[in-house]
Amino acid sequence: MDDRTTLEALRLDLTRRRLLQTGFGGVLLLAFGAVLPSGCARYSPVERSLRFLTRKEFAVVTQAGVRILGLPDSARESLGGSIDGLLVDLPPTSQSQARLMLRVVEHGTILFDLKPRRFTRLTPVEQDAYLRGWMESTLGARRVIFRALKALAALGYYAQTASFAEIGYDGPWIGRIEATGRVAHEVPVDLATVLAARRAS
Amino acid sequence: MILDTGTVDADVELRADVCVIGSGAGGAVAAAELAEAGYSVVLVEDGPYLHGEDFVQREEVMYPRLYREGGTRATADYTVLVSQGRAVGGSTVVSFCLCVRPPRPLLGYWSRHLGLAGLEHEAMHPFFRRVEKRIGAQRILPEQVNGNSAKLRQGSEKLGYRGYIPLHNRVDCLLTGFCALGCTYDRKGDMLTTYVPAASRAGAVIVPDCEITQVRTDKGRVTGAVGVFRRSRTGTEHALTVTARVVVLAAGAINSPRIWRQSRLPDQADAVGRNLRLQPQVVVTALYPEPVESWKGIPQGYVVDEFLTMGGRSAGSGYLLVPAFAHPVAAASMLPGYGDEHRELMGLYPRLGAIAVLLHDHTRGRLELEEAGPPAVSYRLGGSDEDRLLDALAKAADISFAAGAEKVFLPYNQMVTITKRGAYQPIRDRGVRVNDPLFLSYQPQGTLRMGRDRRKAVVDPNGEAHAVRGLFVADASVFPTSVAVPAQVTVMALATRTAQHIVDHADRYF
Repeated sequence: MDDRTTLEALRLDLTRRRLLQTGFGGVLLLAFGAVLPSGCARYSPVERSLRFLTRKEFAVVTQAGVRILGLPDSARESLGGSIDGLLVDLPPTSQSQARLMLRVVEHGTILFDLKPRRFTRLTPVEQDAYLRGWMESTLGARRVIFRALKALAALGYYAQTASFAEIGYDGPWIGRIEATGRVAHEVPVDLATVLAARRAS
Repeated sequence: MILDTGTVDADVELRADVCVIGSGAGGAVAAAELAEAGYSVVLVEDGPYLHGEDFVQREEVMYPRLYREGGTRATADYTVLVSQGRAVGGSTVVSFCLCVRPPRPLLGYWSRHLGLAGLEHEAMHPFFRRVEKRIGAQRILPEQVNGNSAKLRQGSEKLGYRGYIPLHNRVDCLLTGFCALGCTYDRKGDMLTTYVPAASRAGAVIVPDCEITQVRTDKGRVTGAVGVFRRSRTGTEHALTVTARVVVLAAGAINSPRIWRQSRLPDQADAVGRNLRLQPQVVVTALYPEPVESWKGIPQGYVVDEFLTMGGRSAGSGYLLVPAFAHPVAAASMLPGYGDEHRELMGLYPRLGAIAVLLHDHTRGRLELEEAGPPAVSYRLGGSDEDRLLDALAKAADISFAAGAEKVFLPYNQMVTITKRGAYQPIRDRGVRVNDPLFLSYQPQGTLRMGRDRRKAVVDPNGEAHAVRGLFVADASVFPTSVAVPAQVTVMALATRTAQHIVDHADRYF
């Protein structure tokens, strides 16, 4: 493990070209994702106000997240809120690809498991079987999406201070130790001021 | 002088002797050396200027702020996550501070067999010494070796494998372990605390948050660079134009070729973006009976180089083994398994240790460079590298068991657990396939390679472009092969040498 690896957590940059390079599976997923519905009519309202996720996306990412990380269902609300806050700050391209990924996961039941029901309508046991299918798939593109989903869930859950105690992590040291910076960092000079002075002279 | 570019409200034109693009291990060194030699320098960095308590020790905050493409850069098939810093100071700000010189036989091979005279160990030694002194590289103390590093040491010593406590560029380290998120307490000897302030003191103008998009040339000579300010708080986009007689390109082995291509610079050798080496890493995790608390202390306090084989007539082969660990988000996303088994493993977090395999790769990838947008990184591990990697996984598992591990977890999506020393057949059974295991790369290199022959290489042995007078490359792009070890001090030493060449031959450029 390595800290920097997690950036995979934000690894939602599933560009068209990259998906295609994961082989036939990528082509299939891309074509599939393009024709999927995106409406939210059948999804339960969410308690919190969402900044990025739709109700549908909230349902998909939180249900998948708790299954993948083995969390109780009660963790869904905070998990979803955390992920929503993270996604809202991503660049637009990454955001649209995150949406595509969640749509593909929601409706992939038809394509990969031949089930007439979408992911969020499956029982927890069925959801586990379905998600494990992504994790263990022979199609590279499906494994990529599983990893992205897992990383997103990890970021949503294990970044929460409330989760630290349950894994024995003691958290940031800021505020816990008396220490200051060793270096007096230079204060940046305002460029506009520099330019104005230059113009004046 | 470091500029705050957030208020820029007009296009900006600057004039200097030298424009340096990128403020990491190569760019900051070149900028400081040249500024201290009396040249006017503009140092442009596309990342932000962060320091001290900007580094808040929270993963969810720092990863997007400190890493290129928000940390999402990966190879085209997502098998290797390519992680590079993006801030004033570049990847040195997020490094684990390992200072390892390249193996002496490798430099000999570069010098004797690849025609890079002057890069042999004896000739490079003064540059390495200079760099190590300036960044405060020193051997960490035995008592600073953290729990995870101690396990690697214990296991490898028990098995008789060669290893050592390495040099680190850190001063009065507080052992908090947040190195990969930037040091809140400035205890790293990174570019942010050493060469960047030195450059500023010597008169360099440092321009953060500005992305260089083009190097300009005229009749085979470099004339400057053009960029765009990326974080204007005024809501408008403005351009930066730097007029300079020397340009030092040091934006890293992925972005430097990108700028090269966007600038439509000559590529006579058809080598720009090729020869990519990633030094891919994979991580083997172990469960110990007692708490190891691997996230605390100096993250990489021991190095095993037993399996790095160097010969005089080749670039050598093999791998290093180094300790590796992560804070919870990274750990959770990397640890194998699903559902309850994953949560159970996370519950054992304080008892987990990990070893990273750093492969000295022979695989050559390439960048697919386009006019706009980030390049696609094509890299698929070759057969011999794959064999070595699988061997390395078994060795890392073996060392973990020798250090007392109860179980070893392989870096696949699924939970693949080894409970008995020697039972490593699952490694061969699973092998390597797309995105499973996930590889990491912190050291991309080789994409603007150095060589005497302009038909085969992009830059000459001094780092100057064969086809453009006054344009230099000073980052890991110039390596002709994988450098086999963490790259930072090699990049710094080569940048020092390139700066000295510019100073020594000033009449050619100024």
